[in-house]
Amino acid sequence: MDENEFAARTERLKARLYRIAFLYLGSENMAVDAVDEAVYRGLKALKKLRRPEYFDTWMTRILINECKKELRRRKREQPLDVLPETAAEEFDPLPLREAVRRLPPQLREVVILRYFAGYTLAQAAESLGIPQGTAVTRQRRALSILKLEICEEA
Amino acid sequence: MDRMEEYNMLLNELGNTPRAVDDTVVRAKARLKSRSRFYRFFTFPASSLAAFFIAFVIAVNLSVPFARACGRLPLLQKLAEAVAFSPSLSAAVENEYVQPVGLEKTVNKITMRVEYVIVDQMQLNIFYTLNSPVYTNMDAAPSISLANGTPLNGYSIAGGCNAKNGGLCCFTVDFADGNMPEGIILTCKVRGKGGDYASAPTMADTVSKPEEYAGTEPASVFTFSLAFDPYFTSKGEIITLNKSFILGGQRLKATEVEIYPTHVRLNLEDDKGDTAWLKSLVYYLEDEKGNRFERISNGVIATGSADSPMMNSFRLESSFFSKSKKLTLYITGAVLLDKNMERVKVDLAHKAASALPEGVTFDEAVRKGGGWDLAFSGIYHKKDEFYQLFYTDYYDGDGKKRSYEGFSSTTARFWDKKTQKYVEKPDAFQVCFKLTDYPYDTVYLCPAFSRVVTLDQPVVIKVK
Repeated sequence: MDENEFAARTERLKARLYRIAFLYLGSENMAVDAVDEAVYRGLKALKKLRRPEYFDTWMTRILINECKKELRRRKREQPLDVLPETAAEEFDPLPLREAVRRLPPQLREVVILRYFAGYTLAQAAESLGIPQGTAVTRQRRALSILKLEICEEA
Repeated sequence: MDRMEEYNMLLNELGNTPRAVDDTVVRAKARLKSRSRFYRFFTFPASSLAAFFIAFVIAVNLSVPFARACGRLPLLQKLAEAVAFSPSLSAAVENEYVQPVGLEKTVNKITMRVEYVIVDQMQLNIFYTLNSPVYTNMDAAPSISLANGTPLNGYSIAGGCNAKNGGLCCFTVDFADGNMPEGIILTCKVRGKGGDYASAPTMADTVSKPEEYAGTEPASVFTFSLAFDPYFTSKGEIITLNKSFILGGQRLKATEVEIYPTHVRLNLEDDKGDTAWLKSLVYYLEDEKGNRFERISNGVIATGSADSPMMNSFRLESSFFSKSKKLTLYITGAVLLDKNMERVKVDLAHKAASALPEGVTFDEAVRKGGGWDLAFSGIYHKKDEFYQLFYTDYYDGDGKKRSYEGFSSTTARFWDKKTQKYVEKPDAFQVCFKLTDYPYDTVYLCPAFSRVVTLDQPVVIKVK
């Protein structure tokens, strides 16, 4: 893949990347910064992308890593309470956006990719580097905590 | 409002992508362009690093022109001795390609004097002495910035020395890209063995390890403002080649040769279709008089860009002062890393690997203290020359990156169960490292190479 193709594919992907970053970080400015950093890192590492068909999930992984880095940094500065899975009732009064942010990280990332970024189950699993079965289990659990009833794709 | 209404509202909200995201690719491209020249990485030959830390006193009078040059410039005698290990720097001294500096400062009972520089467009060699009435050995940690204090990027500094008081030492500053500035600020933090006057060692003591230099606080900090004569910093010649060739099944292109007084650079490009990364090259230049210019003996020997595992620029001794009318490049071999071997799966429990670099054997995997102790052996390509078998990054089964702290290389020896004795293998060496806090039975290691290519017929490229 050359730089022009990278640019074209990133153009198509950037709105999704922004949505993912926004839900991870909860701020427009930080989301834009994370997307910028991920696109830069993707461009820099382009030669390492051996299979262009995985471009979207590859870029998503890079972005998620950037978001996690930022979250780790913020956690040191101002810790955010992540609610345990068992505290389902504590999620109820939270606005959905906040509830998503308070999900345990493994559940949160599946829900963001599947229901806010529009990834298929296979793409979400690939982006997160987990088996599809694991992704299914996590998304069920997350939807249940969030009290969201979204029809599953075939 | 129920959760589904909230969900749909949030989706609508997220559908409005800020305008700042529109130019993200443009920003990334601009950033890459401005930074790519700064972020290079360097490799040094072990022998050259050793060379910097060992005091060289070589009989310079073996070379008649060298001796004649020293005779004309008696003050350069010490310099000639100090650079005797480097054919390129020796030729520079012989041709009086030396800028005297003569700056001296004394701070906290240590005197630092910058005597000379040998500088061209891409490399700066700073020759200095340290003297102290209380320390027998001193360790100087250098850094540089532009004359106006702006930090510099994209360079490496190698050097230091273990000379006694007054011995001539050298820092080599190597720029991967970009031209030599008109001047720099050199800052040196100097630590003395013993760390304080009360415990200063006797003159008979010697220092062999950096940790022997006491304390983290330097005894003295020096700054020198160095201005370079444009006569020296403008020297250099770039010859475009653009000659493609096949090496180990890979299509490579020699793009250009850069000839500077201190070294020569051979720049290469790979092909998108290549199945392996070039990691190292065996090569030399030869002129019409039969003079051979081999791989450089000091400082950086090769560099690569940050966005590719390929090493794309290789260094040779300089032909600058040889006044060669014709130059021919000979490539006789290479070290490659096949792209499908950037990570190899290693079954620790059964001491088995999906693949290993050529000539490497998996000697040992021992579970120890919540992790593993591993040993691999490789064969010498040159007598007694160890080389790296695996990079320090490794991955667990979930793809999580980890790093091991360091590795040790020793002459290989193996336990023979039959004789119940160790068997020495003179043609092999063993590399040992630890995977600490690693409870898993499988690990993905990253080989530093996968195969070595030696050509029966060298690739021959006419440079000029």
